[in-house]
Amino acid sequence: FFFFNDTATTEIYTEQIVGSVRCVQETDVKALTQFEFQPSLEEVYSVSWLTAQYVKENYPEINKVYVLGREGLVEDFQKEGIEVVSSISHDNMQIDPKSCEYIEIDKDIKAVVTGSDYWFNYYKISYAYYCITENNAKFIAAIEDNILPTANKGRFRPGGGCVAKALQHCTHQPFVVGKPNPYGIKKIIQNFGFDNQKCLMIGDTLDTDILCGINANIHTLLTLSGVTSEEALFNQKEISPNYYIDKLIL
Amino acid sequence: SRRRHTRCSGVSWARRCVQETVVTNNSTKSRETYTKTLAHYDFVPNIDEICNTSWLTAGYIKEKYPEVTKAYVIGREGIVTELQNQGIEVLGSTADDNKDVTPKECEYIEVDKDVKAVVVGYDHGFNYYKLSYAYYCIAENGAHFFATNEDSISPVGDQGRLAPAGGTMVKALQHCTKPPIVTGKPNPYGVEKILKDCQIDRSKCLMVGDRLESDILFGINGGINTLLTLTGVTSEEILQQQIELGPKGIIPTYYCDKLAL
Repeated sequence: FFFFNDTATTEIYTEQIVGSVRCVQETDVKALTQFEFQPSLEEVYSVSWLTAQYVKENYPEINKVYVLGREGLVEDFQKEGIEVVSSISHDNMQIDPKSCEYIEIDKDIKAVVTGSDYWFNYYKISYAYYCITENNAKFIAAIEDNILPTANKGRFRPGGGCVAKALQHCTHQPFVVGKPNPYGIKKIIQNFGFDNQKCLMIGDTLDTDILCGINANIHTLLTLSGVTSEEALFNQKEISPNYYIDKLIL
Repeated sequence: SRRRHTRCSGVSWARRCVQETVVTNNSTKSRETYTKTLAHYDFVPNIDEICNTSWLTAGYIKEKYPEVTKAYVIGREGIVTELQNQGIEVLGSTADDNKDVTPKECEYIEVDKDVKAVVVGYDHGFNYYKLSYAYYCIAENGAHFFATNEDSISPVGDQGRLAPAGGTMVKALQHCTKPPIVTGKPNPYGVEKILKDCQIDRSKCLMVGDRLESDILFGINGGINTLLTLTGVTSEEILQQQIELGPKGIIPTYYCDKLAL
């Protein structure tokens, strides 16, 4: 089972996963196929899908949301029959502080869902703010990633969680569905009837992947091939994986 | 000393023989612009009586970080002007408002290595390019991270509707870097600067404001008495919650419904 915390999907993967549109980032699936591994639909959990499931299960009365995210998150909500006002439609909205007075929100929006929207702007943040504070909409964050690796020579970049934090500062703490919340792992264990003791969470990031596994009460294996270095692992004591390895060769 | 929670019905005596300084966390304007903005009120400060956060921030950096000669700004013209007035070269701000760079292309931004400080305040032109540029300056080049304030919300427009304030930009950058040095309220640097510039005794000062975590805390941190007005962001209910926290609460010396000058 594969968990992806990035919801910034602009390419919808339709070819290899037969018969259905599952909003998984193309790069995620390419990474998997490197290992000559063909995941089936049920084995790939994107956090956008998980977030839509979470809202559907816990707030069945919600039929309209504001998604501060991209196509992946939008479509996974629409597939659950939830209407979406998408921040993509606000991509080119320019605003100055005085004009905030005139922003009119859709009063039927009952939740604000944040994912990764790298086209964020002040209009979107204000719109989401008004939904939460004037409409009492729930605030649900798919992810809280602070930095993410890039394709550029070991460089990192600001993650999608930065906008969630901006919104949090003027509203309140959101419910975070993605890692390190063990919601996804618990869902799998429940659906398939697995034994916790026979499950292993493998990941390269201490405070999302490994903490997720710990929170779900399963074994954890940290690979030092990505975000967390050996130095970073031993410079802290809060999060301890059961195992660690330089890199994973399947 | 024991704090008195005295309810004042109006502070009409304030104007007699009292020197007033306006302290604001709004970083969008320079001091000079403020003299024009405030000119249509009865209270007309001259430029020396305005202590706005852009001016404070520029002064703070110049005084305590003299090695900074170039800064990247997430913010508006106010911060830019005040930094330039201190001889600090500025990149970013409004020039990066409509950058035609995709998020993917942001991964390849080459930042100016001479940027030794990132200064963040309210910016309605905030975007991923600016966030990335600032991130690289701090994470890759070791630039200092200054925030003009951490205000979460602020009233805007004629009706005073609340809107996300400068702290939201700060928290976005903080989440991928580290906590900033906050130069505006409640950092008491402004109190010290005013006391020094005006040659006044601390015991003869009163900080008047409507926001507990910036205005009142500013006064408390600066060791001066404080007066909270309930006309703005803080309601009596919120004040009561703070009083109930006891020593952990932010409690003003005095509070009043409104200030009639």
